[in-house]
Amino acid sequence: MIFTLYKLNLQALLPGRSWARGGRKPGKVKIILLAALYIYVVAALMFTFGVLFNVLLEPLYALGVGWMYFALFAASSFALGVLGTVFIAAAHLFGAKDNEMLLAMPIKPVHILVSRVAVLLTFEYGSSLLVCLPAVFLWLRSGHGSAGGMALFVFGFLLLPLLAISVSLLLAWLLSVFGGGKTRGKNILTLVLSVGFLFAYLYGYSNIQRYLGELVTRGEEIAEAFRKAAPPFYAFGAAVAGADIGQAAVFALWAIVPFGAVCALLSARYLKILTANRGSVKVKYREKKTRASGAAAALVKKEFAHYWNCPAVVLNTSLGSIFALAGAAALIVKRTDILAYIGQILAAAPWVPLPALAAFAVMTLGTVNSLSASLISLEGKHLWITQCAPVPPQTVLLSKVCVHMLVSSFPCLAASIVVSAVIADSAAEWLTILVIPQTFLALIAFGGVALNLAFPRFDWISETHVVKRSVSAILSMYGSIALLAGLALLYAFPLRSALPLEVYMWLCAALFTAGAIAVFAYLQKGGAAKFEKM
Amino acid sequence: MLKIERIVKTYGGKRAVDGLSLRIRPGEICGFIGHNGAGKTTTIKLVCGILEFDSGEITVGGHSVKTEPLACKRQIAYIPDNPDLYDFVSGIKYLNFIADVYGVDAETRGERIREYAGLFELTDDLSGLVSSYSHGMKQKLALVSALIHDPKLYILDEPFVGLDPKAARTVKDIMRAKCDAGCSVFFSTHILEVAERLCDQIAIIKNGKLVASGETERILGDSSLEDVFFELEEGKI
Repeated sequence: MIFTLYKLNLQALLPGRSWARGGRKPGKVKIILLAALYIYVVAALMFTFGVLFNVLLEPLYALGVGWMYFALFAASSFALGVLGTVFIAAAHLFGAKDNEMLLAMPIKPVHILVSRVAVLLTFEYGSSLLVCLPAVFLWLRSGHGSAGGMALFVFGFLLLPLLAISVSLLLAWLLSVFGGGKTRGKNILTLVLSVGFLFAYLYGYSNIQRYLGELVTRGEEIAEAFRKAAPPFYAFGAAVAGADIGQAAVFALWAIVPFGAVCALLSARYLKILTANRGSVKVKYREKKTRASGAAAALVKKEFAHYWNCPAVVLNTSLGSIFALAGAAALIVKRTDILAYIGQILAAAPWVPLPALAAFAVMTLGTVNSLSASLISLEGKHLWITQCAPVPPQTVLLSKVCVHMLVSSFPCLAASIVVSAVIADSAAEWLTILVIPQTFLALIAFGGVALNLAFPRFDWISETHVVKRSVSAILSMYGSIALLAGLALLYAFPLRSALPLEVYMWLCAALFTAGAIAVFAYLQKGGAAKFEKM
Repeated sequence: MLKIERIVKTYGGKRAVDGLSLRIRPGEICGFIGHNGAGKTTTIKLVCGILEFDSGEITVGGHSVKTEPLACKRQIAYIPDNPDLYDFVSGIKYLNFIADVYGVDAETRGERIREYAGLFELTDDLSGLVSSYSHGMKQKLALVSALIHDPKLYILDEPFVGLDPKAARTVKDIMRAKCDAGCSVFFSTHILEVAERLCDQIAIIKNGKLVASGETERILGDSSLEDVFFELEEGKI
């Protein structure tokens, strides 16, 4: 039974399902495209961690704190694991739409729990591998590796996800309590908690160079502080670096005991959690004066309501906007420090004008906003409502583009205005910072809807699955990153000597605009026809 | 009001609807009956423009579903067998959304919400999220949303499922009143007694084909609808 449920749950979470709608097998081109997409995503993440570990490895061994390399690996893997699964865990364990159906069947609640936790663990091992492979490759290549250390690394790797999943499960439980209904403004609270958690992680990650510098000067002191503050990661590091079986046993306890405790706690209370009545407080309806609006405005309002009422959707599809606004606020408060930091970056690439870098930064943040690529899928079982409505499909599709722009283009524009006010010296610089990113964001908005038309997924059991793991969302995010990176590399190498960066960026803006217009034209004809047939 | 002519819909080689023809005049209630999988819901979805048909023609008020879909949809109210409504909005917001989409002005929608939500005893719950509604409440909200834009043709797929007896009676009364005012109702049901008592016309579908259709009295003769249905099912007629 548990294995059957495990297979069912795993199938529900895998993004590839949208390729096989209507029982049709995907074509070879689509399979190749899917494979290429996943290879690209995996390679990009592994490269990011590889760069980090490459910076850390030799200095840490030179300081005689080689254990810290593995401790930092364990901490990174842990943070990625928690971040990657906390929302899925909340949706999958406590908010899954098939919970009631399964509870009505002769299945023990603990079996439902075990099957769901097993699926999450599968994903934890997957994400842990992304960190593990570059770390272990660099370690072995450096010559610091040993057979005993390697054996204990494998042992630790198998246990590490248990620690991450324990924290994930507890946080998910908290989120489900906040998301239960009684708390007023629960969405905002959940969002604030989630963003706070993410900011803390990214703050630590972005300051890694500074910490490393401090480690060189105050090595033993910091190592000691780390040992006290994060004993499980220290145990992991000491076990692998020193091939120390005793420390490996300590780490095993750190991983197994919390996992066992959380599982025991949840299995004892799972049925109670699922069946707890957290219905909203009933408020008697009092008639108010209503205002009529047009069909297009009604569709935009409806799309926005769906977006805003699901914190997981907000967090996973508009993180770029949150960071853009936070960055703009930081620029106002810490203007001198940030400009000095940017000055250091530009010293390495003096051919990059500051306004161009600012425009590029806003565009980079825009790549993380992938809302439009999920909005058709998010219609789910409600699709019939818009299909029956006397509204042209073009209007429905454009309402999705509009909502994306509302949550992506406007915050990024606000951030651009702040940045321009601080750094722009001329009208041309203002235009560079304000206009060029908007053309790219428009392309993402239109392109996302087109991608979702190509790869829809309506059989989801939680919105999180759509916004995090659907093919269209992944394609939109990583496709736009690849486009931006490709254009940057194209300029940095062959074109830099041929034309000034500002001219190149305006040419790119023209390209983005042409792309957005082309996708708009597609949505008006082929896309609209496809939407009608869904 | 509704004219279906020789429509065919196939799903991967299987004919779900096979050359079905049917006419419903203004003022008529037509009951659509058939066993599970006979093709009722598929036919209804074809009429509403949710599914495309392979051949044939469907017109609503003289407008072709294929070439003038929006003109048809403006005249139709459709309620599916399982009313999956937007569960992230409140009941009143859902009704306002539907009213906006169908272009109902603020004053008219206010009056209609007051009238129909009151009839279905849903008024007090309209500020609650749709996700907190029971199946019956969702069905009532779907019915109010269908009535809010005063359509000419009501297409209801199993409208009585989940409704309490009082609400079911209200639905029947509204159906009759709307038809007396010149509208038409096309609904599927498994409750043969209701169809027998309520419908001016009966259409029975079997394996995608219409096996009997016409005025209720003519179809029934001296038998009950239950007898006629089972005789048709067993191929005795």
